[in-house]
Amino acid sequence: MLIHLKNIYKSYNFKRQKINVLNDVNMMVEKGDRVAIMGKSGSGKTTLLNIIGGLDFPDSGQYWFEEKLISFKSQSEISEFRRKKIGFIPQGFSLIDYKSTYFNIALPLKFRNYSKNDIERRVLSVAHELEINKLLDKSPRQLSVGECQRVAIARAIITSPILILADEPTSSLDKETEMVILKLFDKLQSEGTTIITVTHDFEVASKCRRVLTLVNGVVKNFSINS
Amino acid sequence: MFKLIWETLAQRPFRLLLAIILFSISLTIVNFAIFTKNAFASKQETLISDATYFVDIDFSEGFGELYENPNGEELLKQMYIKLKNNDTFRYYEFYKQFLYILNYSGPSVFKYGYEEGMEAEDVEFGNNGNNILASPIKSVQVSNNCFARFNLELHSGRHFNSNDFDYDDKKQIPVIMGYEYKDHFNIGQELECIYIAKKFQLVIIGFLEKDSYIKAGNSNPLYLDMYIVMPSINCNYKPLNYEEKLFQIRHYANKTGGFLEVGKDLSVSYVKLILDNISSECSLRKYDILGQNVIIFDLFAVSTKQMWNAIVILGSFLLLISSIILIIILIRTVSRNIPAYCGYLLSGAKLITIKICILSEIALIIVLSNIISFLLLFAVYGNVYTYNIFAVLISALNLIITSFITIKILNKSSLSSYMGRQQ
Repeated sequence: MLIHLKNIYKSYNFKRQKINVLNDVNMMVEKGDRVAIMGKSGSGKTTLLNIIGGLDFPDSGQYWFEEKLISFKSQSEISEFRRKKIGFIPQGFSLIDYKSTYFNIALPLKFRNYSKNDIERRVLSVAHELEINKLLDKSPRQLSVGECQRVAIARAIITSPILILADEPTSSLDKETEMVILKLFDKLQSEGTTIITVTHDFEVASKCRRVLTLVNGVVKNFSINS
Repeated sequence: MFKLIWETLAQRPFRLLLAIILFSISLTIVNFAIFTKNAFASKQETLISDATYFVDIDFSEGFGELYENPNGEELLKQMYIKLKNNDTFRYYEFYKQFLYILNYSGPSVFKYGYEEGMEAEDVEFGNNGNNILASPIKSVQVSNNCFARFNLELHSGRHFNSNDFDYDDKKQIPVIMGYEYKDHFNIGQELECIYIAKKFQLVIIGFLEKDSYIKAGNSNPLYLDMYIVMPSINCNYKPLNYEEKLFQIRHYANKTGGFLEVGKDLSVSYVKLILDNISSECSLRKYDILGQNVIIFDLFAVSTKQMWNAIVILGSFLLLISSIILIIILIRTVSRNIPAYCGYLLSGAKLITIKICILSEIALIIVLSNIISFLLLFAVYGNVYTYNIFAVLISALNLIITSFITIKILNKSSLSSYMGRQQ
């Protein structure tokens, strides 16, 4: 078992009102699985993804990753967990726009203290795979939305993480780019990478083995895709 | 981490520079205004603590017309006696009149104008066909009360006594030399000099203590180390010839151009009125007041104080505005950089590292601004105490407020909620 979420609760305070975002979420994901998280806007999809990725913490509940309980109290532990295990493709790309595309893709490797040569070799390889090798000197400001998405994906997969978390990875892409990305996810899954995708898109969800549906922070359905 | 801090700082160098310049200027203005205001206040206190002030009077424009007056020198002598005996003020004879020393053998440093780089040239005085070289040497003429009033101490020799001030045509005049003369001249040594075109015999009776000076009120102190101190002599005889008459007129014009020490309760205009009355009684033209080192200050004191108060308020307001601008700039930068921070976080950076980067930027701006302001003020005043604690407190407050707000913005849930609310 790669992921085991047990009785996860999460709430936010908004205008002095407590809003329950996740209510008793339970979820188990096998290694190499591909899961789509679906639901209406505000149903808690991104919050759930952020908790799985160690970017947010639950109010209560337990989170096991590879049979190990994740402690959200230790910052260094959680950042190490993120650094070693997770590749994250956020909705807005979160690219460092005053740096080059190359820098953005290479950054996770720098945090892992890779040598300059290794970094260059890996960046070029991933960039070639995602057909962004001609964009490496450009700043993210100079890229199209589709190109930014590919750069964000490149950054997420460059460390070959065992879990990729993608938040609406195809929502703003044209069909052609969407197909390239879905094919890449297929390839990653075939190589044993676990992928959890938040999506509104049924076509993206159809590519996943399992679909989890959230309604007002409650898991309504977590079924195997027919 | 330092690399990350540097990258964050180098990201928008112009904005960083602008923030530093703005904050430095504000801090400098506030510090300058506070320092000047405090210095002004302390100066005022010093002045107020003195019970008296000095008025510098002058008759240099009026003596020429007395040459043809049969009683010219007598009028000035009357004037002198009235000044000396007046109950309203205390009169000090203190004026600079260089002496031509005949056959001068000392160093040039004592010559008139030497220190100012405009050394007066030696002149030849005819003496029955034998010309004698005379060198202009710096000298002051003082009344006996100057020694006590200005604490003039002797290194060696003796003080003047009252007889030394009375001159008859034959008598030697005792002089006290400045400290620097002690290696070149001796007590008892005699000198010949020309003082206002009249030849005198001088005898050295002592040397002043090092760094002796006369300072009337707030005027610049006159250090006497290189001066010959000569008694402001009283000529108790009628001039026998025209040259002697001219000498006495010029000498008494000098003697009556000293300093009045006046009680703080009396205004300058009142003193001027008394002075005019005295000169009128002596049938002399009005005396000029060259400077009243306290009163001019007093006259402008109120307006100057108000001006500095206004500058302090203005400076504080500017500092407040620049603090707000700085806080807004930094908060906007942090908000604008959230995607980048998310990028670092997703790439494996620790949240604490990102926070340290941001705090470093804030601290750098504030600390650097303070250092620049401190150095500017130090360069101007050469005084470390120019820097005021108020500016430091404001800076610290800025640091705390900005850090608190930015860290609040940056907390983990804010970053994750940012990632959820994009697009």
